[in-house]
Amino acid sequence: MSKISNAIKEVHFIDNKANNNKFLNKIHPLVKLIITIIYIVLLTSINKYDLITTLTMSIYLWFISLLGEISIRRVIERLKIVFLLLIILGIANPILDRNVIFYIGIIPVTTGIISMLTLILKGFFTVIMLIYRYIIVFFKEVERIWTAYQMRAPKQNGVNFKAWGSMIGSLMIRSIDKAQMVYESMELRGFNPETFFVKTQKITKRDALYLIIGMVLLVTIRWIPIFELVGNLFV
Amino acid sequence: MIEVKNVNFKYSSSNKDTLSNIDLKINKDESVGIIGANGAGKSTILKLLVGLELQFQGEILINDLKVEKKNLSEIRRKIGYVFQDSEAQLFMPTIYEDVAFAPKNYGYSEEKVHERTIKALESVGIAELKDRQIYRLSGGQKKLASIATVLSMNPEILIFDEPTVTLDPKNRRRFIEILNSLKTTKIVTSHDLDLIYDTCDRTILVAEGKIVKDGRTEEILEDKELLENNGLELPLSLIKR
Repeated sequence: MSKISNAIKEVHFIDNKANNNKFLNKIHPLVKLIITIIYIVLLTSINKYDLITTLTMSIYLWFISLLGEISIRRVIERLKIVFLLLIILGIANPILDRNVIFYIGIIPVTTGIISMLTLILKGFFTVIMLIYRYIIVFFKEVERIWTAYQMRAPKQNGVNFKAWGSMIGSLMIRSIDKAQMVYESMELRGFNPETFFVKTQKITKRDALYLIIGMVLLVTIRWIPIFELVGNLFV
Repeated sequence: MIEVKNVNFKYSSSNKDTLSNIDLKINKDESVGIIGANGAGKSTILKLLVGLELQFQGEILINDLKVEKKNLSEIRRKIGYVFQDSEAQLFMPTIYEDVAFAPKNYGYSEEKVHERTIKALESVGIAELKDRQIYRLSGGQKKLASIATVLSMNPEILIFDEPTVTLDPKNRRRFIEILNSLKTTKIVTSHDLDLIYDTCDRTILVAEGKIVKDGRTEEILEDKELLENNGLELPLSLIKR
């Protein structure tokens, strides 16, 4: 149960960050969306063997985490499950793609290993950009159902497989019900999807500057081998 | 004025009518309580008034506007509906944003939105909580915030569905004071007959989808036999100890 509670706290942490009045919070949402889409497009356009460029793309995330005052360590910690999933997805690459590129000591580094690492990094960076904040509604329903289950099955370690079907079904129905009520509440207060108000925030010079700097940074880290150039300085 | 003329309604998932032959008139500035046992049809009447269910037979008029799809926007502008479940009513990150949601949707200027939002928050006494996130509120504060979200629309009619269900005695008392201070048409559905006794001049008793009795609150709530025959009990304040 504490895992669900922790997940809710984690989403509240994101919620709090979203409500801050820092530089990044003041940037127009459309500008942030454009930059994010450009980032994802550039990231996914990288050749599957190009590990260095994929790693270089992390510079943007580091830049964003600095602006947003979010600890990279905290983000990595929260996404360890995603890492695991990506490793599982990429695990076939080293088996199927065995061309040796170079050796580290006596260990051969194959194109499959490189493409697997690239896939893991790409997936990881993409997920960071796509975290969805309203997952909390779902978590709260899970927490309620889990608490109700635990109260009546105190000696049970985990959920009995026989209960999974009805619990998931009940979770779905309750989530749909809740979503329906929230939508009705919105409708009763004038919400109309066709004329929904877009926050009347105008694009300012600051937003334009952020967009330009963001695009220049992304294009630079995508096509200029920064790590290689920095490395050459010391050779 | 609200006019409900010979309305029949049944949910698509049900075989029998949830409401049958409902006829009623509610005048401007009246405070009306709708009481009845669980499943009597109280909440369904409210849903029909705001057009959340439109597949009914008969006619419903809100200030001479017929409840039908093309009039819903105008009707909902006149009616503030406070849900039983405040969690479902509040969906924005902070109280201020939630209370400002309706005036923004109705296209008011930024200054006007701010003015209405602050006024609504002040009228329920939670202006100091305006920047607080919804998840940090207590049950009572959530209820007050829910009321503020509809007050910011300056509605001509206020509808409350089981408003005291989640409130402790202190918050319940505060809610009653706020309700009595609102000078507008009010419709309250509740099992809390003491609440109805304290806030409504007129009461409508509903049972099995039909109006059983419509009259002065005292007349209905002091009739022990009538209440018991319809699955209710005398208000606690009227029971002699």
